[in-house]
Amino acid sequence: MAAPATQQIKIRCNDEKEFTVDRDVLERSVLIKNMLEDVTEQQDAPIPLPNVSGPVMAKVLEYCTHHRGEPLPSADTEQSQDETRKRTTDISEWDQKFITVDQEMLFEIILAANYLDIKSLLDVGCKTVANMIKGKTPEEIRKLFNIVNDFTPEEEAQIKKENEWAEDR
Amino acid sequence: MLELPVELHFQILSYADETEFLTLLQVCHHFRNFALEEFLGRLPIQLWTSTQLESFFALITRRNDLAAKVRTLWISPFFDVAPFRGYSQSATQAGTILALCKGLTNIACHSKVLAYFITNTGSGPDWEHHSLTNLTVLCTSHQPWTPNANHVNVERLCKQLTFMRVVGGSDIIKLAPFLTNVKHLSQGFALHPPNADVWLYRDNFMPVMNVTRRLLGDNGLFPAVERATFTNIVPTSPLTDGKPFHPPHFVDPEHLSYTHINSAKTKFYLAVFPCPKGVGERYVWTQTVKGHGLMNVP
Repeated sequence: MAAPATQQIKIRCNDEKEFTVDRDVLERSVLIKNMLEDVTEQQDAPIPLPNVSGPVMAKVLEYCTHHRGEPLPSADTEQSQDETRKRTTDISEWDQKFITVDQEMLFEIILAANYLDIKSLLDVGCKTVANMIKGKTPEEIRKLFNIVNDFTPEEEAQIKKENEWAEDR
Repeated sequence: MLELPVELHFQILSYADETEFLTLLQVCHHFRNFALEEFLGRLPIQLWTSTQLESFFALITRRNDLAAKVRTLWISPFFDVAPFRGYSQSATQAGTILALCKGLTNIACHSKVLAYFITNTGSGPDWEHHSLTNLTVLCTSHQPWTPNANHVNVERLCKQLTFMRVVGGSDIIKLAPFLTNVKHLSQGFALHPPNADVWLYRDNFMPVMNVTRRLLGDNGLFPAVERATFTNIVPTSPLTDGKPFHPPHFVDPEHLSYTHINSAKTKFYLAVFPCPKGVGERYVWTQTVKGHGLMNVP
């Protein structure tokens, strides 16, 4: 007997780009999973995703397809991961390769993962940014993220004094 | 990056290592604020020089909103912290920091600072240090912690405590009437003058054994105690069983061997930790806060 056909779901991004995707892949997104559960009748109209562009969604779907079938984090595991995650910024080899993108795309993926509520992808993105910061000087971080040093000389002096407790830890 | 929503900044910083903290403070206003908010609750904050004390005092008194974030705080005794009468400037600054940080769960400070904090923080319904359950008191033999039983905050604080460690001069047995809910009782034998850092004192086992005998002999003394931990530097010469107690070289206390003195007739779990020279109380405290080290051996 043939296995039941996987339901296909259509989504539409903010640039009108449409994707037709297996339901279990899309359900990596808690946002979409909840949307689908709320819909009782078969719908042919694509689900609108006004906060995600086509190219970013393509990357997100690449991630979801690779991780399809993996258990979604429950509230309990999320809590225990929250307790342990600070100790590790390790990223699996595949995820690392996947997230090797330019900075603009990296932040777009983080925003999309946050909007679509894909916890594991959000973690990969945030860990990647944390790893980029690691070992850098304040000036290097400013340069990396195009941040302006907005401390006035007077503030620099005050901040230097207020930072003394954190030095030589 | 600054265009990301605030919650994502915190999420990113939650993965940043504490060694990055000082760097993050210096990047820009946004990073500074996020770093302070994220790390003050996470770091075991340690103030062990007068400069650090004054610096943290300046920050916390200027930014009262940050005080509530602080969870764990070590304030070393300083030479001027403990005049025989009254309070020094360091003691008042340290006590004020403790009073302002109402979310504290774990503190270590000199007996004099503790006394200042207890008498200069809100009492009765204004007592807000409801989460403070772990206390390490650093004493000298001439300035032990002698709680003032008549002060309402003493009763409030002592009832909350589940972990109590006394370092140095206090006779822990005398604290028994106050520590009715303490589950883990601990003492470090240090008679060293309480200056920049307190070293575990090289001492013999007599004080340990005396306290142990009292604890084992009177179950009513500390009714809630399930574990008692004593730390001590053991001389390199062999002890009674002929075996050296500790490795001759520095070993992280986490990996030290230790001796259990289990009593069949009591619920106490007693562990005597030989600590190598060079292991300071601040180190022991930090390891404990981080969930490993001497106090967390199962």
